[in-house]
Amino acid sequence: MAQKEQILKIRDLDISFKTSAGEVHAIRGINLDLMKGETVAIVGESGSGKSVTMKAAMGILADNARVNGGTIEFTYHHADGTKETVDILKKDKKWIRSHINGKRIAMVFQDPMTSLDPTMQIGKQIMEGMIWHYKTPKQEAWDKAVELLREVGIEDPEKRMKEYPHQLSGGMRQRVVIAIALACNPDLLICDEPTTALDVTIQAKILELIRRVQTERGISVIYITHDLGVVAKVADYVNVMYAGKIVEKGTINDIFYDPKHPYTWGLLSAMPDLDTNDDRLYTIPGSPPNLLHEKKGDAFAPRNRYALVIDDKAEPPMFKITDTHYAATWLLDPRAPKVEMPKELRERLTRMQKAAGIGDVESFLKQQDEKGGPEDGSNE
Amino acid sequence: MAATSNTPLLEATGLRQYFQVTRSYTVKAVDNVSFKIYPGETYGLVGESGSGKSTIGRSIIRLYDPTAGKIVFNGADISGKLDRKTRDMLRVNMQMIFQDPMASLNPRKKIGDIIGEGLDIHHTCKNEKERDEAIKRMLVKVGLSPQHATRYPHQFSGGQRQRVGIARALIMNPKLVIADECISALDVSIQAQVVNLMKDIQQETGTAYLFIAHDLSMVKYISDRIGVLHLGHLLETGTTDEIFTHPVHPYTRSLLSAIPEPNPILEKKRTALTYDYKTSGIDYNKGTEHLVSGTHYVSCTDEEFAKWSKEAEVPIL
Amino acid sequence: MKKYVLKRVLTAIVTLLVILLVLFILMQLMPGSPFNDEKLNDDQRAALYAKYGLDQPVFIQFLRYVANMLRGDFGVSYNISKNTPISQLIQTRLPISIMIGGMAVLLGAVVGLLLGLLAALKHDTWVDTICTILSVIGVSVPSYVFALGLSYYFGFKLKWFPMLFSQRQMFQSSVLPSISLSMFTMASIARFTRSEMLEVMDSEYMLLAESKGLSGSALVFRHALRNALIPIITVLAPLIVDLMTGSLVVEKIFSIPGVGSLLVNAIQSNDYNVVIALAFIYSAMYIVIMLVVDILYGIIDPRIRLAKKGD
Repeated sequence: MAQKEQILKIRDLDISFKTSAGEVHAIRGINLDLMKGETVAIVGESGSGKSVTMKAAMGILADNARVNGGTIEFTYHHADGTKETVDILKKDKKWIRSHINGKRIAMVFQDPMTSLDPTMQIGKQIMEGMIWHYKTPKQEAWDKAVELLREVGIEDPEKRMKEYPHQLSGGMRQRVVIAIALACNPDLLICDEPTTALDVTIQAKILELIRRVQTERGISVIYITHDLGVVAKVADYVNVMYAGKIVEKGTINDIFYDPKHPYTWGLLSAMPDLDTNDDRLYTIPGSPPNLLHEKKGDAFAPRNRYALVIDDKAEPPMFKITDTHYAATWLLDPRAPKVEMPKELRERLTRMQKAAGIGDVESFLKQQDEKGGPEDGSNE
Repeated sequence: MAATSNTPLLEATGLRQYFQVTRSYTVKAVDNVSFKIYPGETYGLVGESGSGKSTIGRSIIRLYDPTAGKIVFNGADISGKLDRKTRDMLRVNMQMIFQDPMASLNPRKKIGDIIGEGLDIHHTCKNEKERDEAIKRMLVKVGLSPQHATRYPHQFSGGQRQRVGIARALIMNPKLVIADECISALDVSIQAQVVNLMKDIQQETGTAYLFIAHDLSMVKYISDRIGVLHLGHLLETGTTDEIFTHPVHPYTRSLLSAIPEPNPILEKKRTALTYDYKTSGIDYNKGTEHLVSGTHYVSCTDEEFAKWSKEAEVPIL
Repeated sequence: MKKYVLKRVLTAIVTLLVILLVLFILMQLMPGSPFNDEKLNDDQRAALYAKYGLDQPVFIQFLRYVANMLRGDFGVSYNISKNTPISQLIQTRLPISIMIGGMAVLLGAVVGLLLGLLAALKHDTWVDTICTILSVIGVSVPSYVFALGLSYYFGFKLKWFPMLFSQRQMFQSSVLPSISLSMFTMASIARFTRSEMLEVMDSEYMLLAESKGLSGSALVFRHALRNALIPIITVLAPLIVDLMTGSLVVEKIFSIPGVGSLLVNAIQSNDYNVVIALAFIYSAMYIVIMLVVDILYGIIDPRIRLAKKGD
């Protein structure tokens, strides 16, 4: 398989926020990769820093944010085909606005009610980007906008162009937001909890829409979400974040069929399973940490029932499990005691593997590795 | 926890809640809904936005005045004008937990006072000491510490605030608690904590829950019986098992199919069933109750029932 | 939109009638009769009463009253300028007050908006601090202090503008008074614009616009300002009326023959008719301006103009 082109490369990203209560160390060293055409999911709860990471890539961090270090390398092509790689963190806001935002990287936000300007017509909001970046003449922009509305599945697009956000339903508004994002043909689409505010049936449709758009246009997508169900549906690769760090990363199959980090175990277990009749949901005790007061060692240790003594003293490094699968937990250190995931989770995963037609997990994942990417489980 | 008695604690018959927006346009938020809740059980009311589920909760607890229909709670008719005695009985025995833990707590009151408000209004405790004891006990029961009583809402996280909301609802020892989307605004791991807490409390006190939600997987986990709502109509009811193993109404089936499953290989191949009421040819107003099996009912016409039962592979009784 | 406008217009008309009713009742309650009774004998009095329709039932008197007021016939003045039709008195003064008041509004609104915008865009910097200080000064210092200061410095010392108002140099002599009057409005609008803009800039649609790549003036004017404008207009409306109705002290300082001094004179000399006439005019102006503002809302905010269609 041909080597895929790397679009985004984040290394050692470190960001703090200056607040009236003190300095919040929100991102504490993130490494992330994205290849062309792939879908990467960043999973985490509130306070994990998942949104901040991507906002840094877009250059739309809040005013009180301070980037302490790291690089965000973004690769794109000029109109004549030449390739260019830039470190977004080293560029000033003006450059990012005119070269990146909307043009090469576009973002879809969570709440379509608040992310659309309530006093501007839908059509104008779609056309705005094109006119701004490419000075597209008005009529051409109009036609393109109508086409975009059709592409995202809105009926009667010409009529909708002159309508205002409050006249549309939630699902339709989110489609408009996607249309706006696609207006300037970006290479990368960042979706920040795009379906959380929508009904379940609409959610499925929007996810399918994004998938279709992605395949048709060949763009890469980053999903930021806390919903593992969404991740299962859309992602090729998963990064699990906790307290400003990535604690586990791997292909979708690595994470869902063979998770190694106790936090990932916790997240998977906390989802009520449609198939079991468990009496109690396994929960991760406690709440996400307060990043105002950083403690020594592993940030997850206080909530980790498998915490070792060393977790209080030193932060675990990323341990390699396979070429694609890494986790930052002392449990993977060769000197650590052998710890198995909770019994209920193991049973659930076994059930799911069986339903998916996977025989032996390890050999399945190894097979996938050799093929150079996640497989859909179809037998060779 | 299943029902502890055969007489329903709450029975709603033909409940309608209409809101007149303009002279020519009335929103029929709840249209002819009937259901029963038995003591000690959890009834899950499921629907999407606009289905009327929150409105039902508020009509029952009499935050709204029902447009039509009858509600019998704890042996008393609470649907019409309430006299003093009935109102007091209602307020003490039925409580509500709201969705937004940020917005539903008064930011200017201490947690202890928020929890104890019910006690104060109904003069349940004889003296201050007894009141403080009751509040402290409640705090511990919901997993907070007694010292939290003197703190303010903004000093707590979302999950903790929701625990306060639960404490506030439970301190009056109500027979029925209406949980209106009370976990939707929380992180996944916190949702699990809160749901476990609610289950534990139910074991201990025998409170019944009307669990209003749109997240079907959570609903399945916590409910004994379920009702599926769409556009103000109750389309299908039954035990959790009945609904999830043999959904009959196409809407229910589309709802179930839309729940994403954390099994990537399967999930990627799946597409959700589509259901569009406008083009489906179904008229909710024409539906009548049809028995599928056990306590499983569907609201539809006779032809629809015959057709759907065949599709759902359910034996017709 | 049409229904919205129609409703507003009807409300305005009804409000006006109610005000007229209140004024009419006040008039009836006032001690004494409109005429200097001592010098009249009964027949003359009766004749005068008949002439002015004062022998008619109250309801008819009210209708006549309304008709008169709407026509601009406010009766005559007793004390300030005996037997001069009030409309004449007002006629010469009102346009001047409106002109100076209008200039003050324009100045106050535009400069206030710009100051507020600047403070918001550069919030938490020294620019913001200076703007805030200027606002506080503008709001706290009375307009006549500004008037005296401006008059002394720019009128007397620098001789840039005339110190007293004159019809011949209408524009130049209006500058200083307008500036003095505008300070309060300028400062209020500046503060309000700043807080509204800050709130709007924090909203998610601004973030989306930024993520589209918009920056600078497009972002500010096309998105932020238009949304912030709605509450700003609300605040502006009553200020406009205040300014049009003149300020006594500023008028005195610059010798402006305006409506403000007329009102105060009338009050001091118990010239009821003049007071009531001016009260009516002020109310009518207020109602009209609020009506215009309401209609402006409908134009700017599509949520008011267009009802939510069925999904």
